Amino acid sequence: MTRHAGAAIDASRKLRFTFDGRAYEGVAGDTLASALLANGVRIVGRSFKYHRPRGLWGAWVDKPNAIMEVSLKGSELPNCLATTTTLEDGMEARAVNAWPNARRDIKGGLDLFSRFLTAGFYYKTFIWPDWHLFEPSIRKMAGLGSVSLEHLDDYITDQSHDQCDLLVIGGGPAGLAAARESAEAGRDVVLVDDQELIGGSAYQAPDIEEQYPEDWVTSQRAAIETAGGRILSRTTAYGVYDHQLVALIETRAFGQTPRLTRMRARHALLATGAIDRPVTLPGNDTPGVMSLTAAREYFHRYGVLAGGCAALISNQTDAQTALAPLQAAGLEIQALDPADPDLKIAGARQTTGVTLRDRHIPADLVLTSAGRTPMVHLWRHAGGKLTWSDPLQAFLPDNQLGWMQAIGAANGTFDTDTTLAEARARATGATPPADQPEPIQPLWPRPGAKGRQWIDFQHDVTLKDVELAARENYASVEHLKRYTTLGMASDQGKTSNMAGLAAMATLQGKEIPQVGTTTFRPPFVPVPLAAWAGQHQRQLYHPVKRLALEPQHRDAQAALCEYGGWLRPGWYGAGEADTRIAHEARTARATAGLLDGSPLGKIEVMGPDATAFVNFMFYNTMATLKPGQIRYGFLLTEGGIVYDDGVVSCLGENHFLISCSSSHVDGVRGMLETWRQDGNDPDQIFVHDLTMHWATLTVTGPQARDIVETLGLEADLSSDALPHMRFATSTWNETPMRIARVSFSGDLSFELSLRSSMAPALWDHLMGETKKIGGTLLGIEAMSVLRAEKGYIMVGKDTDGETMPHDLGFTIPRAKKTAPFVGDRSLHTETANDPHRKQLVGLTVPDGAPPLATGAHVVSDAPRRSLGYVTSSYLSPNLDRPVALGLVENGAARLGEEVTIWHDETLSKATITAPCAFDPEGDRLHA
Amino acid sequence: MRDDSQTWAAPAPLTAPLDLGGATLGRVTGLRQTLISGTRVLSTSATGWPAPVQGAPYRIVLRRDRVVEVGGAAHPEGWDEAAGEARSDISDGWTLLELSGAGAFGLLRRGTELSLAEPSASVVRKLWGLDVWLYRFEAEDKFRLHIARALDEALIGHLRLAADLARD
Amino acid sequence: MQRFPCPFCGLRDEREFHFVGELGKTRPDTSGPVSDEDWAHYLHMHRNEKGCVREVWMHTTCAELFAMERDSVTMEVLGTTQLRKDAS
Repeated sequence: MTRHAGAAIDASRKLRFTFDGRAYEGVAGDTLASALLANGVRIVGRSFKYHRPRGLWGAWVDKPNAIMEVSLKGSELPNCLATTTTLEDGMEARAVNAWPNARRDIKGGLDLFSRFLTAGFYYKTFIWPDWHLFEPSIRKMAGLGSVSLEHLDDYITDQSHDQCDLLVIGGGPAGLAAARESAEAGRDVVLVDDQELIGGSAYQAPDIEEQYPEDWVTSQRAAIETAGGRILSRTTAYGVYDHQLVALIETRAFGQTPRLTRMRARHALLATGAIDRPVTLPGNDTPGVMSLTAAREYFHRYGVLAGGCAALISNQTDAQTALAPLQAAGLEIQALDPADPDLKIAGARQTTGVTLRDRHIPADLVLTSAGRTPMVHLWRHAGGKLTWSDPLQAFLPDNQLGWMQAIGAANGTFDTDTTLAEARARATGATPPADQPEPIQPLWPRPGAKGRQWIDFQHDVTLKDVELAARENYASVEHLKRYTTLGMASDQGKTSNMAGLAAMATLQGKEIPQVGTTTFRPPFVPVPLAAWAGQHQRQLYHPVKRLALEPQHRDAQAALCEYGGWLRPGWYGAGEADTRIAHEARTARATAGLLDGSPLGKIEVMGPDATAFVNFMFYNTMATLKPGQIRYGFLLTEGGIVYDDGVVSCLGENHFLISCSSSHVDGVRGMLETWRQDGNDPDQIFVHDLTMHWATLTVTGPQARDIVETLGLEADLSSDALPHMRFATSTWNETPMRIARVSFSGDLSFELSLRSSMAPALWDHLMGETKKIGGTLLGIEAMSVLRAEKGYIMVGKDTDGETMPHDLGFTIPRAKKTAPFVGDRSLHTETANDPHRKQLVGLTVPDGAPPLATGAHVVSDAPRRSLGYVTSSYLSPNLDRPVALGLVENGAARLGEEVTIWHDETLSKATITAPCAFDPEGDRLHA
Repeated sequence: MRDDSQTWAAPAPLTAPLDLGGATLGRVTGLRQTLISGTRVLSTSATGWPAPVQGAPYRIVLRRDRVVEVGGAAHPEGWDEAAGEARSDISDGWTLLELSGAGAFGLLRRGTELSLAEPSASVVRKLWGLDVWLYRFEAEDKFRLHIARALDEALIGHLRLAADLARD
Repeated sequence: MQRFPCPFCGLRDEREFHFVGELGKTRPDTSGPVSDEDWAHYLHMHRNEKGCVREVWMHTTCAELFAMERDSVTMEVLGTTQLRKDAS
């Protein structure tokens, strides 16, 4: 086929590509669609439901059917729109939803069953004997492209933020004129256009302001950039979000991720243009039926004449003039009366022309337009309202938004001179001259007419489907959409919404504006999810916090696992995890263990009101803590639920250290900062989170004191001078150090805290001494076993969203603490007083039985219902038997009782015991 | 209880400045950082955004009642009743990075919405969701960032990736 | 991505903020008796108006609590009130 001159193409540069396995040639500047059209390919895809052959309707985003899987150089992307995919040499395209190809899709036979596949068919058919029998096959047939299982390693989107004073959306004549006017007036202007060659509809005009369109566009561009304006091409504004944020997506080479920019615009001009509406008449989906404007675009931009002989069915008053250049290039045009009710488009896989009663008008191209629909999507995202224009038979922006105005075709202004005047006026904040649009004859679907007339070309919704929806009372425009799926395909109803709601209006005897439109939502065009993921993937998705001693742990062959947002040693050494963990747990009780406890929270609270404040925050009384003392306590929610546990140390008068659990530091800090300002005087209370500055190393076990003594500290570490729940301060290598007797293992335990930069030196020393006496490095897994042997809880594991402190055996503050504290009143509600509340217990199993499954339920016998569940369960190497903790109704009163356990459809037995299974007297703890 | 040692690459501390193509990222060591809280801390000279801070020591503003002194001498820690100040050494808790060059600002605005035309009294921001203290230092195209030590790998990772993506 | 005005730091990305609760809810004085109804109302009942709402928010990066009036339908920020005393 001959190529005419086209503004976007360079006919001297040939590009090779294939479509459905056949080789073709295009030129630089082509889209896949224009290249296919130039090669005479008429069937570019199959419709979603009936697999009907479809051709090219539009030339840009208003294309419902040319959806293709495209691969190039190892990148394979599903569901590419042929009209917006720039052709590159070597591209292989396949029509989706068609096998073996678009021309000969075997599922075209489905069309014969169309009577059974009308709107909502899946609510009414394929039900007996069992819907699930049909579901898999129907699901397989649904959908469009298939996703390649190859992972594109570098497919990460660059996301950025930007700001401007004026954002001009659309680089056609209106947008270019406005951008130039405002840039030259000194404003900070950004112009975006979604095409490689900006200019929009400019190329369809023979001239603009006495220049060739190409030259006019080029001179506007140059003027804008000289004046400091920025032009972003291949950039689509796909959505408007709260507070005047416009989302921009820049398309790049095939296989490259797009670039996302979140643009905050003080003002915006919507110059997004308008698209043709299809005419609703029988056979209107036949390949060869094309939008009037698209035919002009294919000719002026890409140099392709879409046919040799065209029938024209349009109510646009300037249609013949508009097509004059195509006529001059050899397209024969026969105009028909668009309102004639007997018009039918003839042809099956390819149009043969139009029939009108007993006449047949031959044509290989049928150009139709029932009027132009302004692209008001972004206006609606921004919350702008629409008004109905009777002369234009279209919805227009009411221009009452303040920060955004519409210009040009988006505003219903189609005449070039009027558009330019309007654009320049709006650019400087002036009121544009009033426009008297040329009225068009309404051309809407006629319900009740014979023959299949198509409304939604992607989802195969016909006029009869709209009639069905009305009959079944799905008459509201939002119900019409969901019941028929009209407007729900990937083109989001760009070419179908108006006809659908107009048909419903006629059926309901209403005016079109009474029916209204459905909600417009971003994105305006399909956007890959990767665009929103941006950098948030893999290691940067939810980065773990790293220990200062991570290199040391790696050297010691630690298995590093995620615990509470930190990467920490689960266990050390090569070999089976269970064996290593059991060894660590046994050795720690036999001699000693060394654990990196640095993630433990270290939040200091100081100021004149610190004491009262800490006393208010905690369940336990903290006001009586003296310097040097440490107390275990709970932080509750106002609902009385245990939020975190930890220890509070009194560092001095009005100076406390809250050592909350590692996974809750941010939450506890947030709680403290909130309450400090809410009902308290924040000028008297200061919260310093020093968790990251301090490292904490724990030495635990019968020989822990011996190890710590080797540090040569001045502090007296004897059990009289430094009993359990006390701390001392000292220096080591000129570094201040805190030595606290706090134990999570239940054995004699010292927590040594000093600044992180000195942690490696301390670790090396302690590791050496620990190894010397036959002790072990201790990971989190082994520590979890040790604390379970003692019945010590882990909040969130042995407590749930209902657990209150008295359920855990901590009853005194609830009964005795008179000063208010967070959650206090909630501990005396009907629920809190319920005698059947779940309480913390220990659970043992019969001799030889395996450990209980965590999460297994304790059940009553008849009727069988859950009485609680297992929260922690391990094989204890120190007791040589399983130990477990759980929450069980009224558990504290049931010690010694045998209960039934249900797990995975199996029943077994367990006995309720006190939570502490090891050294209940605490002799080892107080050594 | 899953060994993720290989999922997370061992941290590679920034020992030499990193060329990010249009910007350079380096680490600043040896400067004390002291957290000072109190109702009168803003009466001393302390910087916000975007005016560059000069010299050493200097103070950056985190809140209406909190500054961080960078590069100063040691202060007595704890609650000082007479001065009405709470002080804590946080030097080992925060990594100090410096990002400079013509491309520096473009990289930063990949992490959050940022404008040099919108002044702010404080230097606290979230970049890619991470809490940082961000301010200009000495020059228009030189920025300092403080990030929690445990997350400095993550921030450097974000900046490097931003530079790679910006280059394409 | 909305933007909110912290009384101290100025306009900032919404991701730096956290909703705290409705403005005007006073914690009952638990040093004396509090009825079940009053406590339940304090914990669970929210006005949740359509349109103008008055809320307490925290700018998490500077930890400041402040009051903000917003339109819960249009998302427009109608105004903010500083809750903290100015530095003396």
